[in-house]
Amino acid sequence: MLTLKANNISKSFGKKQILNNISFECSTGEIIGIFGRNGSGKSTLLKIIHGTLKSDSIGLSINSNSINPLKVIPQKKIGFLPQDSFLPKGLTVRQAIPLLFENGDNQDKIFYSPEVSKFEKQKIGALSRGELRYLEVLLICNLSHPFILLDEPFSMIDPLYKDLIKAVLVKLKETKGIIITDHYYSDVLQVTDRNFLLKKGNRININETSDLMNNGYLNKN
Amino acid sequence: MNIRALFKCVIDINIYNLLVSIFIGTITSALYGVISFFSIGILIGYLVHWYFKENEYYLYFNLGYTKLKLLRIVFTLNIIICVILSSFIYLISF
Repeated sequence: MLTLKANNISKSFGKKQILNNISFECSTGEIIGIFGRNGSGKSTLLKIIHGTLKSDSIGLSINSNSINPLKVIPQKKIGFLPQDSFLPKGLTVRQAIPLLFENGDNQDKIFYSPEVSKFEKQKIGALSRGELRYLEVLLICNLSHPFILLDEPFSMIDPLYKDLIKAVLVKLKETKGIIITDHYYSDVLQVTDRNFLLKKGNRININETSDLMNNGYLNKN
Repeated sequence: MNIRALFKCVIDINIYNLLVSIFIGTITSALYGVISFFSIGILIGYLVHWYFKENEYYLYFNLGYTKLKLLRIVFTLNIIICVILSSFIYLISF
């Protein structure tokens, strides 16, 4: 089992402190949910852990082996699904899959996943939001990285594709540690093992939906 | 090393690079056009590609390539292309 530890992550933009000494850990075999209102720093936190955004302070380690934030990408230990699509729109699904997987067996894992055969000949730019997000989750989650960060995987997705995405996450959780951030809290709560809320730069543990209400993320009505 | 992904990145950056280098070569001399192709043209090509397709870089990040590493690869390939092309032009000019 591998454990990713993120310690004392702080980030401010100008005078506004977005993240204030946020610490948490995620082990392979679990899914962690991060909630927070718009601008609370959820995406910022994921980008910092992935090494694509510089932080004011950070301590990152996997099984007590410290990782330099600049080495996160080359070490291929943490994969990241950004909020907006990262696949080239001009390529077909058939052309895009080999970009991430050269090995035929790994490509087959994607091609033979449920529903993929229905849209494999289409261009990425012509896919529906649900098809595209499902494909991207499949691609990122099937990489060899032991930890995966997903920024809004359920956003604007129809219920059928949401269920497919949840099935992928639950299956891959056996071998990976997954961190999700999304406003679709009920979908997130269905698959996560632990959750926390980012509020005013601080971390608040969330055990049930009422905690989200009590901490001002949801209306109490 | 994922050759297909790298090939796509090299092509994407060099499309803009080629336009810049042809423009520089036209208004100055062919030599400056060639020099641009493995120097300032790469930087401009990268910046333009980044501006329009920033999110596509997450594909390369997830494959383990940082922006700096991608630029190094494009630079090395373009140097090789320039040396081969220059040698070819030199040979046929005699």
